[in-house]
Amino acid sequence: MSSPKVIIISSEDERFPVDPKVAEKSVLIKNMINDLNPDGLTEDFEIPTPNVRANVLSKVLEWCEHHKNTTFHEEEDDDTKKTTPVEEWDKNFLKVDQEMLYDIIMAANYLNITPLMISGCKVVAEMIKSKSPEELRKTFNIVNDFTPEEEAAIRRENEWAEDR
Amino acid sequence: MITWLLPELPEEVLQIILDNLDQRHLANLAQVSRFLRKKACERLYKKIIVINDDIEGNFLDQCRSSYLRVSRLNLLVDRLSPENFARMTKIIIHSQSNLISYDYFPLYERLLRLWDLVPHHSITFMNFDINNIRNSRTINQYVSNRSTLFIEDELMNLHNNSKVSNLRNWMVFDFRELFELPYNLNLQDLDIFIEQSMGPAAYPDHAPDAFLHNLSTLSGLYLDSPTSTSQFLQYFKGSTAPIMHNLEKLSLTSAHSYKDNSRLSFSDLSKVIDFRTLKKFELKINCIHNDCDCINTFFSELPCNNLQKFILINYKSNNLKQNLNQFDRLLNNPDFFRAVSTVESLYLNVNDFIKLDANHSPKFSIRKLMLRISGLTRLRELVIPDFFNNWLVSLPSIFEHPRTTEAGYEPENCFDLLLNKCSCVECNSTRARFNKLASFDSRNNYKHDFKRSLPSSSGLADAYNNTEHLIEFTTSNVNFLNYLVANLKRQFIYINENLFSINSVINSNEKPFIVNPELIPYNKLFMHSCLNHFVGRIKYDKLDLKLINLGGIVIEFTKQNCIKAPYNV
Repeated sequence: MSSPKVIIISSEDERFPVDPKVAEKSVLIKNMINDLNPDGLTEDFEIPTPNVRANVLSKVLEWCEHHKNTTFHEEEDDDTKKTTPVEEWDKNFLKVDQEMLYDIIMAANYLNITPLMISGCKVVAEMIKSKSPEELRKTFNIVNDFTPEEEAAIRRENEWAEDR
Repeated sequence: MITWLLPELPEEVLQIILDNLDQRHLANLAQVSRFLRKKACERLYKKIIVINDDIEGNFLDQCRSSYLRVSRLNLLVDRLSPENFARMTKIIIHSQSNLISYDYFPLYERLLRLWDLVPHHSITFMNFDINNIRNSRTINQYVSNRSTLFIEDELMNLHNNSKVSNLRNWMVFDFRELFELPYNLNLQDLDIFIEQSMGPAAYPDHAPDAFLHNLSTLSGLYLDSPTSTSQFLQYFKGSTAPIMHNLEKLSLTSAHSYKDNSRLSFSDLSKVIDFRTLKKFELKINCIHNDCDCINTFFSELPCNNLQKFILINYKSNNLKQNLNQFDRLLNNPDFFRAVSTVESLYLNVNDFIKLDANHSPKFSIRKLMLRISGLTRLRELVIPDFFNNWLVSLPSIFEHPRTTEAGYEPENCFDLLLNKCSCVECNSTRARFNKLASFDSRNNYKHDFKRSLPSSSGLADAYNNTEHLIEFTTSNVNFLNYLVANLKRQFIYINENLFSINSVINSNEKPFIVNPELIPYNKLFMHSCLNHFVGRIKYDKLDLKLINLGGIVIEFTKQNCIKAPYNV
């Protein structure tokens, strides 16, 4: 008999059987498995994720599969989070359209996969860095709710901070 | 297709995105929409550090401060809105009036006006510009003078000092000044910086209630000069029970000289301060007496406590033999390490004025220090700013196979140990570069002006890969090493600057350490040659140890206890 699988079910009821080691990259799933099966899995274990669509779930599980043997430094100090650049594989993996990037970050947040969520946020931060306020509004579909006078004043109020 | 909105992201996700943006990106983001302006400004204004214009490098800062070059200070002063002022918790002046005198009065004046609009907003305002402080007024003096209301027809002065009570820290120059200040519920930290004074006899016998109240609620006390400490202790000599019950941070400066009451005594101190509540303790101390053991005696009386951070500094790096001998005895004294056995953070600076030279002989044994430190089981952070000046020379003693010659035991030369022990390609080309720059500098009268005549570093590395390069013990090489050591220490500028007057290491985690990336190849050379081994010996079984700073080389460990980049093996 093959070893038991964790079967993650998407919002459309599509089933994704994976090794427990892969599924446990999600702290949410890991805790669920441990709480309900304190002696370890003896048979397949189903977990519904009603707010994650199949295309997103498949992508997230691809990440989990790739990182199944990676040890992440949990609760690493904030400085490291900020200064270390996104790992090359993650960077390529996250070269997706914005909708998918958003969905991956939200799914990683919901499933509690912190390293994936941080990588996603870093990619978003990179997108922000290279854009003007007008480009940012366009990219992120943000309505300019300033009056023209306010806009000029806000540019001035933070000018002191612009040289670093 | 555009499908998503930043404002709809969960707060924790948005915060991680903001974590990864520098202040100029935040300033840019603030112009996008009202929501993002709020989020960006909450970060930009929280803690602002004013710095000199010429500071370069990567800022290692756990607090994510915003930095403001002093020449741009007027941009902030002129345009600070009440809304953004309300977001401020801390302003730190770290610019230094040396060639140019900086004037912070416009900033003080602006804060005074903003307090009219946001009356109860309290902030911490620290000023480490020593020349400014000596020649001008502190913010508490300025605010106090400008907001005191005198009602003359009642023949009394009514203090309407609510604004000075919006400061969470004060700095005073004598006790009289302190006696005149009101009770301040917001007061957390107090600096007493007495450089010259009339002496305690001139102070009134009965301390005002407001003063005693202020002391009893204080969480940080900084006695910034030997006079501050001796007068403070003299004033409370008759006290029967400690009056400071909530003190968590104490910085003491003491110089045992020929002046009366200059010897630090634990029993005097315990009349004012309850050591059981203390978490962070800084002692800047020296002693000029022959055959005196006052420093050791002080620690033998210190009860075991719950100190988390301990800082020991040889005040003014006093180089007298008898003083250094006391430090040597202290650092070999198990009682001393028992008194600080609970510390998580240890900062030791015995003498960083010494330069390396041919006659440099070990006064302190790093082998013994290592042994003592191994007893500090909770240690998370170890900082030794004078590592190269004071300890390097005895480093060969920790290596297991010292050379023996016919003359007997001969410790290896620390210079060779530091520079010539690794034969990897990278280290070899760093040595080639070292030799090249050292001889260039010697021809150029040691002006350390390397910009003019250097080929690019990568070209140099390639050209020197094929031959083995060693660094010989010559004057020019020693000078260049001293130059590197000085640059490594410059990275401590905000932590160590004015340490013998108004600065303190107690709050070092709130200040940036400035990493100079040009030094990293040399640091790697030192690590490969010998420091990896040394660091490994200290780290050994200390699972909590996360950071070792040796003279400016910052070695950090991951959760898995491996050395982090750039020094990972």
